[in-house]
Amino acid sequence: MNSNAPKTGAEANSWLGRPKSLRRNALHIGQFLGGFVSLFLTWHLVATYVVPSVLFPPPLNVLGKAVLLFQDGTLIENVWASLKRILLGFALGSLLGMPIGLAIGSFAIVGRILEPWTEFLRFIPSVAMITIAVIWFGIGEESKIFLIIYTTIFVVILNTAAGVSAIAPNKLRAARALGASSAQVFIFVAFPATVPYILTGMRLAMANSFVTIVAAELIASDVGLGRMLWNGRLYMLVDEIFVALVTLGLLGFSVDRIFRVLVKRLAGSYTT
Amino acid sequence: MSFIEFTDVRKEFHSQRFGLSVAVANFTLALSKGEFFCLLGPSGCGKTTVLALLAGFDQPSSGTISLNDQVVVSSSRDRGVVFQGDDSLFPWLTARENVEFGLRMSGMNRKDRSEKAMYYLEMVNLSSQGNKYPTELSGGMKQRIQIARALANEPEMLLMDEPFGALDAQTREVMQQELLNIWQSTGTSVFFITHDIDESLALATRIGVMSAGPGGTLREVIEAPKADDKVRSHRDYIEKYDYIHAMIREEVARSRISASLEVT
Repeated sequence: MNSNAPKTGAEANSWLGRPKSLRRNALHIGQFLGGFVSLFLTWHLVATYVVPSVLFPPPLNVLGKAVLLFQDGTLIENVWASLKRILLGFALGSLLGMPIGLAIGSFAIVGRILEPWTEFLRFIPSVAMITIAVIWFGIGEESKIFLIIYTTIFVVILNTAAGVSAIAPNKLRAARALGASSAQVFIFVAFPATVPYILTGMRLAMANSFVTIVAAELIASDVGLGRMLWNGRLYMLVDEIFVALVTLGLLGFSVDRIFRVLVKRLAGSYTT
Repeated sequence: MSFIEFTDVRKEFHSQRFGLSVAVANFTLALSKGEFFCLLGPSGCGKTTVLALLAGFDQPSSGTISLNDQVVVSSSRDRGVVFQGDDSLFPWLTARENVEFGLRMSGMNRKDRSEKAMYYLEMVNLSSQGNKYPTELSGGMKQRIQIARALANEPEMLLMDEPFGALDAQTREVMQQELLNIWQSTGTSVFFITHDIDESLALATRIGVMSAGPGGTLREVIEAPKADDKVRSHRDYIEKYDYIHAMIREEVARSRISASLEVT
């Protein structure tokens, strides 16, 4: 079989390839960090020299405030409150959305029955649902989790259903010719073939969750990053507002990175 | 009573845009067990439709297909299928897990199916690549996984839809030789689709030539050269090549004329 030896990744990364790709990775990470530094540097320069005002604190002041809030526990308390709501609602929304999306994509009848639901509800933004959620569930955890589920579920459903319809027909045919029953085709082929689409849907839903949780906490809540922003406005604590904003950016960025790595890693082995 | 019998099979497709189109018509053919049958024909003649019907992916509009006197109504593990493209492999499974798939579906335990998968991976000369994912393997190797995966179920016959069509010439030749060895050692019947005359002469025991589509039918069945005479320089080989070549040229010309008549 030497006549057509494969050019696998491992072979391409032989004695010459590997150090080169390592160096390239280090370079990419360096450029990326450089981008971050330039963001904060620009902020610093603008806040110090262009618009020096208490209403626009430079990054070092914000960092100082963040350390203080971290030490007295307020920052952690607020971050944890928001993150818990997001993770719980997001997990529930994804777990509900996945099987519904799989069913819509796999069975035409289910699709025709459920599509009016998803097509109607997905155009009512979760932010518009805040008032009714508070009336129904109060200002506690339930209303937030309801809103996060609401904002997650439709994106996951739509992406999962799209993923199912993108499966190569030959995969399903091959499975049937190998003796798989309809249920087995569903579990062992349709579901794994759809995983990259599900993850992409979840990644989009995660971004939506951040929007929704801040809006919901701004309007009705006693703790959370949204609450922190609202308090900042009430008492003119501009630096606290900035701490909350930067925290949101960093949290969202980290979660999205985790998803990107997951999607990339799985997409490699889950798609042809 | 033959092993496989196509009796006056016809397949029509209806679409809103194109209306009624006939893919295959009056298709009658009997195959015996252990045979290596090549179905040859110009593109668009309905070869793949015939294979899809025999595989049970689709039903004939009229006529019947039977296997051991049982009418074929759906796909089943007694007819293993090898597709032209690699999009039928499961990229989330390793080569070995792909080969195990059918055995896993039938409930065989982990140890037995792993042993069996290794046996068939060895048969297609892939035993060292069992833990690799399809994306890490070359085109020829992916086709080998497909063949091993179909064989692992120990089907009564192997249906192959231009399985080497996307491979380079050298790899294709190696794969043809390997397939012949597998066919000789397992005794599985093979139904092989190709548009390559050389390929059909190199592999088949009998060759069926289809007329040009639409509404292709079986025009003639030819005995392929014997195993020892499957060399391009052999007289029997050359004569049969020329004979089939002339027939296909005639079919292509005929379909062009009828197509141009339809246009004007």
